[in-house]
Amino acid sequence: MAKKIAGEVKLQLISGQATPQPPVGPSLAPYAINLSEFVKSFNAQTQHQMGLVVTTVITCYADRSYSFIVKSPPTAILLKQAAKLAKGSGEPNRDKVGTVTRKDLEEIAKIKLEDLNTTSVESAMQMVAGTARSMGILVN
Amino acid sequence: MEQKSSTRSKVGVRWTQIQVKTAVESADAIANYLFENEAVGLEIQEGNDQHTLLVYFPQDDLMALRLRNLQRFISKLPNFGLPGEGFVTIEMRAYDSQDWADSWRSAFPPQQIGTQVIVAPTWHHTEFADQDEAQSDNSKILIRLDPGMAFGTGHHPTTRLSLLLLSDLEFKGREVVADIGTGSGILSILAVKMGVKKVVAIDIDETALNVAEHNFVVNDVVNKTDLRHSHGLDNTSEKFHLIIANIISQVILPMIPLYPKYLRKHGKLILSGILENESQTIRKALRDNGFRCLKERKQNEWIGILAQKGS
Repeated sequence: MAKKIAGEVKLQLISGQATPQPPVGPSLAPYAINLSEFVKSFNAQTQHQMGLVVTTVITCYADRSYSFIVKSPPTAILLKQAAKLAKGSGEPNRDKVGTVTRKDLEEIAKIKLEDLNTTSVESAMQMVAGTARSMGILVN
Repeated sequence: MEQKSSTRSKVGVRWTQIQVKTAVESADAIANYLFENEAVGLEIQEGNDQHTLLVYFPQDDLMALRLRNLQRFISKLPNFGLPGEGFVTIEMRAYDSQDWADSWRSAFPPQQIGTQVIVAPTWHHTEFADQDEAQSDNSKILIRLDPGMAFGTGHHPTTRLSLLLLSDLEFKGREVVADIGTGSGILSILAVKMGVKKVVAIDIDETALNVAEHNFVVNDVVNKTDLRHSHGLDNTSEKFHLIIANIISQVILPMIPLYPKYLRKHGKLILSGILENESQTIRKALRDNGFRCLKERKQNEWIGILAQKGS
């Protein structure tokens, strides 16, 4: 199989609920892959975490076949899990809705290190803390 | 931005794309804000210092409000220790409505490969209204194949070269064939439809095996195919009349010395996935291992070789 890569697309989608509508349709349309099959496969592979936002990377090949991987959830989802929240605060400056510990931050930073454009866990923790504060989550 | 959107799932809705270019540090916070405010998904285009988030909303009276709220959120980011205004830009553009569920299909018209082989998606009516009719015309072979997660849609030169070299052969109904790196199973399907007794279809990728299994059912070749999850011909005891390997040169080259052991006397070999600048090395390896090159085909920078055991 001479798999020449035509492009890679990174999407954040809701597990088990993807459709060919945007962003899936317009993001993958340039590669003319079988959208219906991708949606079906993605939903099947993520149905065990229905409703959770996940990151997926779709690799599209020159012959219009494709493969995809489901990566770890976005930082915000991991923070909500750590703080046991369904949603962040609508007014994060004023309304604090939850708390995470520095240990939580460190664990999340380590999981997300490769996505955060840094090799330093400390820098990654600062970014994760910023995301937490933007959601009304306090860091203890 | 928390108003309901009752038209989201309908085909024909017009969309607005919001493009947010942001410092990497703020991307997660903005993405989360978008998901908590109606977004059902977004694309992330990653750069070194900047990410671009692409998110889509149905065009309605709420767009101005959505945008204002997003800008307000971004203006607060510095309060949380994240880069905000000056590091984030927002652009909006209208997006033509399309039937995304079906529009990709136009990229897969039926393909005639050589004079004999037609590869058509299952949803497409060819001049042969159905498979039986195609089979009744001895000069044509119809392969029904939907593009998907396995290599071998017929759109790549290496697959086309393999199909052409295979369709050049004649079979008597007793041949046993190995298809190494079967992918979608397209070459195995053609071999069966050309009349071989059996094809052992091998792939290391389990996804490919699932796709091939589906395609074997669609093309009614299940009874003459044997799918195996294996690396090359490891654990294979058969001797084959023909081995097909549409892989890449780096994989093909070390396997060439092994092929004679698995081929019958005067057995044949179809190799594809070879770049023109690699073909001399492959030819030499074939000669060194007792093969004679019978035919070569070329498309773009790719070469396909038909060789025979016994010089």
